[in-house]
Amino acid sequence: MVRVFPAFRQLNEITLLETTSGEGSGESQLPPKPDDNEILIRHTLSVDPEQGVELLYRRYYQPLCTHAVRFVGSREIAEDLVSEIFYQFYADKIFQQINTSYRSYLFRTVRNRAYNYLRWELSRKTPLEEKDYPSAQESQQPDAITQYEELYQDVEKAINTLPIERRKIYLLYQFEGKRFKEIASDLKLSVRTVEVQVYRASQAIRKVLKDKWLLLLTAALFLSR
Amino acid sequence: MNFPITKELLFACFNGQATALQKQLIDEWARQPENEEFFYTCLVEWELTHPQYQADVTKAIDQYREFVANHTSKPASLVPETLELKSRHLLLFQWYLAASLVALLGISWLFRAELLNRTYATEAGEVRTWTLADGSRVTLNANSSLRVPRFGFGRAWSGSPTREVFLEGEGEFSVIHTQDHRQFVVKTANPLDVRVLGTEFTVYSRDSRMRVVLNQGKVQLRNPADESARTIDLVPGDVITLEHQKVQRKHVEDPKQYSAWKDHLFVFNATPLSQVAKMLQENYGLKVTIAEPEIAQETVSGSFKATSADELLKSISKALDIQATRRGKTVLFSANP
Repeated sequence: MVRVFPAFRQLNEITLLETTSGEGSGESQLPPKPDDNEILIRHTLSVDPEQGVELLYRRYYQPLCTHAVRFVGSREIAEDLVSEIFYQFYADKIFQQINTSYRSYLFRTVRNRAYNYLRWELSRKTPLEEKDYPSAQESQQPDAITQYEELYQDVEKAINTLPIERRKIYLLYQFEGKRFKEIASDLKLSVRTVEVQVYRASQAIRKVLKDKWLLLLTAALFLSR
Repeated sequence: MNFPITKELLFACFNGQATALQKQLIDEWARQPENEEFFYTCLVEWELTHPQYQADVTKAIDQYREFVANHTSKPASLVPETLELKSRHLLLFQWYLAASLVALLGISWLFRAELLNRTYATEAGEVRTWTLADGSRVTLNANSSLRVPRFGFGRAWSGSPTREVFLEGEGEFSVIHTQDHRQFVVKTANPLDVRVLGTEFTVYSRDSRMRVVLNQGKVQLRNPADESARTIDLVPGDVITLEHQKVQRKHVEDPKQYSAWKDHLFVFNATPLSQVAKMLQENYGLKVTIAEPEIAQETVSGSFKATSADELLKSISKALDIQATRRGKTVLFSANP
């Protein structure tokens, strides 16, 4: 499946690193204490970065993926997002610039990116029908930490509004990543039925989510005024 | 406030059982770095005990190791050291070749973004210029990035009939007209492509707002998803804005005012403070609060030279006769007592 990620790294990640590098103005700041649990990892990263990142994988890959999947709905996409974070962490030597725990950095980043991905996903396919969009002057990234919690809980609620059979089919497609043909043969349905169910499910979920979370538009209509 | 934020409360929040008030208290509490650490510690524990699924960590580490190997050295050559093979080994060799090729393609596919593209980026408050492989120049405003293909950009390649770049933020382009007349296309997260042959123009694309200004030459705007939709052709001085699916076109005498940022000049034309706040956020990553709603409507006009956020804050607060207090990345505008 061809998937193209636009640049999800938002300005928040750059400010993230600047904030955590101890540059305040007008306030005396002690650098936050490095986490005691991560002392071994910190040391390994300084002598053997490749191995250090591997230790981070062993400790955090699983919780990062299961957290990300709450937002993006697909295991494959969650794993791609998380892997991309680790690769960049290694390749750009981000570990040298971090004064908070690696856990904080990794989770802040994955929430950031999962949020962006979800917004992008919602904006990509929503048809243009309404005239009134919420006038959001709010900043693009949530700054209240529990807004991420609210988002993935809204995603879960949206999925739970689906009728049972439709929900099952949708999850097989989105979460498990099964294809229409596989689902059709597993559940003894026609491929067409599966397609329709998945389509209706994603429309319903989008509708529930976009009123609150989405401000963007899509390609369809604007030039044909 | 001394409301105790416990692990149990955080777990309840992760489970969706916290009240709005509790969430707000957590938000406030988490602004302290030590508390934020505790938040994520609890989040990890909660995810480990309530996972949505179990990921294959071993497989992920294997892929990571491949990435590291490819990242630090050139991709493995597929030509074997010796071509002298006994016939009974030939089959094995062919199998090995096929497997390596598949693995290499698989890895390249996975990291195609890394291998195929190069990204230029600016940080908060930074303005920087680069020359691209085809000779075109791009100046990026603060907090922006431009992704450019590594191959087939300077010289035509069968896979790239156009020179395509992907912009996030704001940039001024000075595009060279190539000998083979390949179009230069600026793509963004907004549904509007900017196509030129050779010219000077500015593109702004943040959130769902987009603006294209033409300095000289000719530019064509096109909806990337709808081939049959009408295109928009610009002449120098034209300014197109796209917001909330509405396209607006106007013409100005001096389009250069839109690239004043290149000289660290900020130009305001009866701009309300609320909009200035947004610009501070976009260019400097500052989080701005306005204490009194009345002053948010006040407008500022004029051009201010400012090489840093603090300089700009000083100029704005003087111009509007208000106070600007900055603490790290947060700014508060308030009326003068």
